[in-house]
Amino acid sequence: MRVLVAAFIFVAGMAAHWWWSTYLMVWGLGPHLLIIMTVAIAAERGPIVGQCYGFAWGLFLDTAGVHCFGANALVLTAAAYLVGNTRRQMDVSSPLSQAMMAVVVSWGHLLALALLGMVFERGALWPGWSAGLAVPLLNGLAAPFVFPLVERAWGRP
Amino acid sequence: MRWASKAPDVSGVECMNREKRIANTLLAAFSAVSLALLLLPMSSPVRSFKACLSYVLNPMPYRGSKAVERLADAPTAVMHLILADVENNELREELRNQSILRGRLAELQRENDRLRAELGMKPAAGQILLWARVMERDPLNWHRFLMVDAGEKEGLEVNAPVLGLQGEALGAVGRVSEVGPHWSKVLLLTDEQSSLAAYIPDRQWEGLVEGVGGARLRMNYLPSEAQFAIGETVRTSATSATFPPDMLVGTISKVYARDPFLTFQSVEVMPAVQPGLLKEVLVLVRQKNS
Repeated sequence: MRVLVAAFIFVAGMAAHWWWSTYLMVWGLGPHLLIIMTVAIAAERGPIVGQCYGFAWGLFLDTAGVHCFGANALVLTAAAYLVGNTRRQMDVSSPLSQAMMAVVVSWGHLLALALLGMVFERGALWPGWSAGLAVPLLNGLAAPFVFPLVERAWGRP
Repeated sequence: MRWASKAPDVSGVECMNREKRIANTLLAAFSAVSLALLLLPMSSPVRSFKACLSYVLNPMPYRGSKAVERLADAPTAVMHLILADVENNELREELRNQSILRGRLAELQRENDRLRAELGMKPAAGQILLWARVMERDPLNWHRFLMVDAGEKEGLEVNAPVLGLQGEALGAVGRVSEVGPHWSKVLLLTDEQSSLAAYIPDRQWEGLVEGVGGARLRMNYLPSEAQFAIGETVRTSATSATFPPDMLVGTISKVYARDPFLTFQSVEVMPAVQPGLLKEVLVLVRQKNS
């Protein structure tokens, strides 16, 4: 049953991210659902589960993208590891903490992708200042709504 | 407030250590795989699969001049396939736009015809022409009246003559019977209460065109000795109190058999303008300052 739930969350995460980024973006901007979900799972279930999801969703993002195959997988794995290991020092049920985690990880994700682009593609993979500023903030706003969903899907640890 | 877990006891510490070890191992393994993916060149089938999946999931970035740049890594056959699909979609969109343009062109053509007809129509001094859109028809009174979107504020008055354009023919449609602030009711010629002084130009016979509540009209009071041919035009008479003279009313579609008890004969008239086809009408309005 656990495996089915895990598979469902994985597929639902991909579908939700694709649907949102295809149909619900406003001026090309919207929350990055897979980052928020990776953070939420790592915060709720720990670094092991979080890293598995981060790596798998990262590969999905890399497949859908055109640059640096493997970059998203690496960055989301690292993000899940960090969030999962520091979750005991935070109140993960507080919406403010959830928003802060999402904002910080989103910024880290953007910076890490830019850095990996410079190393592997001879050019920073920077989405532009509007997306660079707006997406982390949108992630922060969306996080308090995504965390309870993830918690409900998994059940409390 | 809920912390991720309680303060660990001895077995909890062991458990945490084990979790940390597994997490570290996983981080190392996933990082190694990710770095390998970043460093190693992908084989042709993997690049093809990646390009196709990327295009299926998010086709927008492939539009325009960036497509070739994005597909630089993909095998040539896959690149051509995706570019052909992009081009196909762009052409489909262009075709859709073409059909919209064709519709707009037809609309402009109709407007051109209307304006040409309006130019050909010379209203009497002190009168102006006003276009009004047909906004409502009552299915129960299809041949009796219709509603238009111009009224008192636009200068329409009761009994103002209403004309319609069908093809290139500008003909009588009816007269205004009620006016509201921005709407008017047009009593059609086909209504039983409508009548109109008209004549047959080829023979100069005058008569009274009356509605019969159907699609056709009846022209009465024609001399009993008069001869008619099907297809002859009927026009408004100079004696008409409402309509300007020589406006097209319709064509004779049937000559009724002579009634020996009546001193006149009648013909059936097919209206030149079918009210059911009208989207706009032309109303002759008196100029206020005249």
